[in-house]
Amino acid sequence: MTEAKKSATPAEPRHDEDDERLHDDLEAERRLGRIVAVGLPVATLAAAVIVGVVASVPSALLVLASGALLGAIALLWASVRTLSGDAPLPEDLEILAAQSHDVDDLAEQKRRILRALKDIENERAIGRIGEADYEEMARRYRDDAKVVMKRMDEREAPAMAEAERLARAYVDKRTAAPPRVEAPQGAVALPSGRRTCLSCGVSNEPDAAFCKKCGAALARSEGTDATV
Amino acid sequence: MMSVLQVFGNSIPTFGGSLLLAAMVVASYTFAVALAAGASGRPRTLQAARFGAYGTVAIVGGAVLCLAYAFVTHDFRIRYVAHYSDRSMPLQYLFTALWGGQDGSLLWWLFLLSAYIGACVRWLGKSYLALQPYIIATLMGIVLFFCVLMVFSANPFATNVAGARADGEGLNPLLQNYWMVIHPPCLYTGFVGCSVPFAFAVAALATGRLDHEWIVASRKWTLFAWMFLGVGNTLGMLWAYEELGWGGYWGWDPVENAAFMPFLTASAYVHSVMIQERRGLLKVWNVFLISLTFFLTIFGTFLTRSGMIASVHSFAQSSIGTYFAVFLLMLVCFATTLVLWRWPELRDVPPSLRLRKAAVTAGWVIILACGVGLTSVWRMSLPVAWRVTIIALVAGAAVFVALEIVFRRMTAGLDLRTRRPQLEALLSREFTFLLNNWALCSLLFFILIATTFPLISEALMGDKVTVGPPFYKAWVQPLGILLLLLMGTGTLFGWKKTSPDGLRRAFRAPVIVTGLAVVAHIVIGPMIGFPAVVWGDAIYTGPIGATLRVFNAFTPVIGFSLCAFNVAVIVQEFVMLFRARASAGTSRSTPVALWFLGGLPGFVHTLLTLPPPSRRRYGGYVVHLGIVLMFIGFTGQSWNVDKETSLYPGQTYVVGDYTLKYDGARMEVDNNKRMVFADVDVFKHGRLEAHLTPAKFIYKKQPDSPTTEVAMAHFLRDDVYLIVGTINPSNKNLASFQIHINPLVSWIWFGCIVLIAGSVVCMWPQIEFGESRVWAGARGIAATAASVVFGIMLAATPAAHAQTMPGMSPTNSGTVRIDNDMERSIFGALRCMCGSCERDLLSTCTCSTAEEARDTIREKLRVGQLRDQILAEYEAKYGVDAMAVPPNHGAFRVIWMLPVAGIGAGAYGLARFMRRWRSHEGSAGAPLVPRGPEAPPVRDAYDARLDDELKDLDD
Repeated sequence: MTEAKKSATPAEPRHDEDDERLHDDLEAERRLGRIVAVGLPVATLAAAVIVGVVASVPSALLVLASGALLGAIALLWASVRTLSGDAPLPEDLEILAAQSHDVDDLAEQKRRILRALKDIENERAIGRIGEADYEEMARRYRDDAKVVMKRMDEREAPAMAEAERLARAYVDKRTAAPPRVEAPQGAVALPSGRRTCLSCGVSNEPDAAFCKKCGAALARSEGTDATV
Repeated sequence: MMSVLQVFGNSIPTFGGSLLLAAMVVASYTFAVALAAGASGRPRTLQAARFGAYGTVAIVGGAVLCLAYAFVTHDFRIRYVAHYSDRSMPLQYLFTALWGGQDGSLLWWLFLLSAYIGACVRWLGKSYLALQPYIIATLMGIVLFFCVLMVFSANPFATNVAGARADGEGLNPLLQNYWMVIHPPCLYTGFVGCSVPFAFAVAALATGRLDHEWIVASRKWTLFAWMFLGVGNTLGMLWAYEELGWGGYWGWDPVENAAFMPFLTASAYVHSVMIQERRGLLKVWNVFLISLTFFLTIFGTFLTRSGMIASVHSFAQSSIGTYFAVFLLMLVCFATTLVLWRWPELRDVPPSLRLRKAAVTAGWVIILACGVGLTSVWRMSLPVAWRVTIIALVAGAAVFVALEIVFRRMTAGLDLRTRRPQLEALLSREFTFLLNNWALCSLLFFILIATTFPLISEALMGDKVTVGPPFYKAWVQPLGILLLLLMGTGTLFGWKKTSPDGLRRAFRAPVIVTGLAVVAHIVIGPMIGFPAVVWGDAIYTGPIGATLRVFNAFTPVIGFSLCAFNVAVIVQEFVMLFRARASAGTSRSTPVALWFLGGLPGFVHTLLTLPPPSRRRYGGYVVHLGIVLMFIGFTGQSWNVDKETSLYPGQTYVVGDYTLKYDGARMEVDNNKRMVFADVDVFKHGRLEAHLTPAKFIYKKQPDSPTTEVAMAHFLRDDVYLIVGTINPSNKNLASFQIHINPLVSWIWFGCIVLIAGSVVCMWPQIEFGESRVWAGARGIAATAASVVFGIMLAATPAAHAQTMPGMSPTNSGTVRIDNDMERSIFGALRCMCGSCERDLLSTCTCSTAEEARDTIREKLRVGQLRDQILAEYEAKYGVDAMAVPPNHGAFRVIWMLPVAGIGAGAYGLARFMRRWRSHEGSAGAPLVPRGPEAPPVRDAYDARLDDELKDLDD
């Protein structure tokens, strides 16, 4: 049934309540997914126990097997629908995916030095290293840590400045102009790289050229990955 | 309803087979989607792959349920069902049959793997998004292998060509017992669990995210698999001890070795990985170790399943060996290429495509050149010893060249020294961990060579020579002692650096305890039946045999005192912990009431509320304690007393502290057998301690081969292990008994329980912020209670089982009569050569050929022949293969020379490392700050931030 609704949506006119309905649909599908994920195993187990008690063990095994196969069907359905882009993703998955970053050499170094400091602190607490040795090593590690932290600060300084500038610009705009943020062209780039259609408000893939719902052209906007 | 069931039942062989195909297809789909997700980095594709992984799990689950259904409904059209079950089997053993045979155990393996995949994908959730695609892809690759294996070669749903049978053949009676129900799943859980950390490692390599992330992510999975490997091995020992009826628990059988080897590498890994976490060192080594662990789990299965190596556990020979071989080859090539590709990152060199290509090309050129070179050396017409020496030298040189020159040159011009992390000092825990890795790998190498020696000797000399337990006993004991020593000393060193002062303080108490233990052992030991020095037979004539014999004679006292040393070390560690906590004022967090409940709950609560790194550390010490207890049990082996006697009812026999009184025989009859019990009372110091009823079961189907039922009594000090040989009703019920007094065996099982408890402490989930103290305490108590109950169950069940369910476990038929120690020594050195008893020694084999051979040897002894003479004659008659220990001459020396050379090479490598590190001693890794003369520390803004971050580090 959700399927039918989905296929019908693109043909309908673009309205705000339509948007809401779509949102409700997605929410409903998520809820359905959650219900199936919990309900199917529970129902299968319960049915198996009942059948096992009332009828026989073999029948209970069959019930379990059919539950497993039903689950397989549901899961493959979910998999294919997710792949084709029809099914909604868990709310924060995209944001989390956008947040994941590459291996940070400096952060790794810093982590190691902090660990080392903690280790020698522990060793001193149980008397494994003498006070003099501890002082000497701790100072050395602290110096190293400071160097790394300074480097990290230096590295992040431009981004911090940029964020500062953006925030200031935003605040200025809000105090000066009406509180509506307009993007220059047809699309707003989300931090995740996804593009929101300005005509209907639907979130599109980062590489989309046209809105998947209303078909409006999503013009290339600069600064897709503004770090805020 | 019934008709539906019938229709379904009729098609179950086809349906089950199709499910396997479906699993294959879905796993392929998931594999592809996961790779696509990895390549595109799109969360949507990843989500699809996750669903696909769950789908695979569901289908495999369905397949297992179908097989279970076939078993329960006695569908004897299916070959596997007909082969491993019959109509009379009770329900629980029908389920046991799921993993009782080859094809089913592969499906069971796949099922456990699926369970892991389900749990792992679920656990990953929304974290480690970059690693996830490759983790799923790797696991799916393994699933695919097992699917292919089953679909094409070992299909558990395959039908009998001749159609359904009226009744099945039934499960091997040896497998129809309690331990067989729980031991294989346990061991498989450990085996299969090694796939998960391997998948994490592959994902880290594939993405190049080789920092600490994947290690932290896979930590609990590794520990879990490690724990189950340990527990599975121990349960296997219990099974052998309870059921095989030869009075021992570990026979160095290839299957046992195959299960033991991954345990060794996994143990090495859990230690060395801590160094990577702290210092960023050993990245390649860790990836290698975890890959090796996974490789060994598959390799062990391959060894024993392919029928290439004889074992008591042998499965029927089949073609699956080829599949395994191909898979292993692919695995090695894949892992090697991946490691070479990531060489720059692994060696902390700025990566570039040029470097990658150079690494992969150079690596493979060297490997292939070595392969070609070694094969051509092999083809030369030189004596075997020469060829082996040349090959060893060439291979060693090649590895050296690869590591030292090629990759050095490739990175020439790059300033490595400042980038690469270094060790601080030799007197540090890091270095002792390296030593421990070296010792564990040495042990592994030894066992690996000895286990595969039948193959090696066949290739070298055209003779399949089997290696018996005496060889392992002689060579492994020194290595075990070394490990025990390292385990204790390693604990006494601190991370980074240990002050000589602190070291002296740390060693003082344990060394004193050790000294006291030695003295006590030498003085008191002989009085209580545990002499400090026990002389055995030399396995070789000549200096090497003599050296080993002398060392092993001292094993009891060395082993015992090292156990005392280790216990002292652990106790001292905990005392220091509590003292530190008391002085820091943090100990108050443990409710006082818990301490009054006998100490243990308070102790456990304290452990569980430590910050995670410390908790893992002290949980590790608890694991060490478990291993020490197990070592005490192993040491007990030196003092085994084995006696044989014949008694009339009413007579008594004294062995050690125990007096055995034979009360008489009685017979009971049930549907399919007659049971003849001998009632024996066991007294110690005049007090009745136990009532034992060893028995002979005579099955109606096989009246000529009565089975032997062992009876045993477990005490803290000894196990009394009683086997009845014959009961002669025509001669006033004269009965012959074999009596084994096995000291300290119970300590092994107890040690295993402590090991489980320690691992649980290490894996204990971090208590969430905001969770109330009460809830945390409740969880602590629950965990303690659970592990204690589990332990007591483990410890108590054998006794209860032996008493209540004797009918379920017909063990080996017949008994071995050994009259004196000379016979024991000779029988223990020779193998039964009947051709069907694969690895049995004359001292344990019960077949008629062995009986004849024993009689012949007895005759020779009677006319006054000497031991060496008899052994030589036996060897001349049956060939080299008849000896339990391969002879120490010619090319046979390879069996110990190769491992010894390997251990030596390892030691050399370690020494080189040491020198290199030593040259950097005093610098804390990368010298980031030029260090001038002592300047007074100045606090700045960063200090405050640093303090804050330090405070938050563990919370």
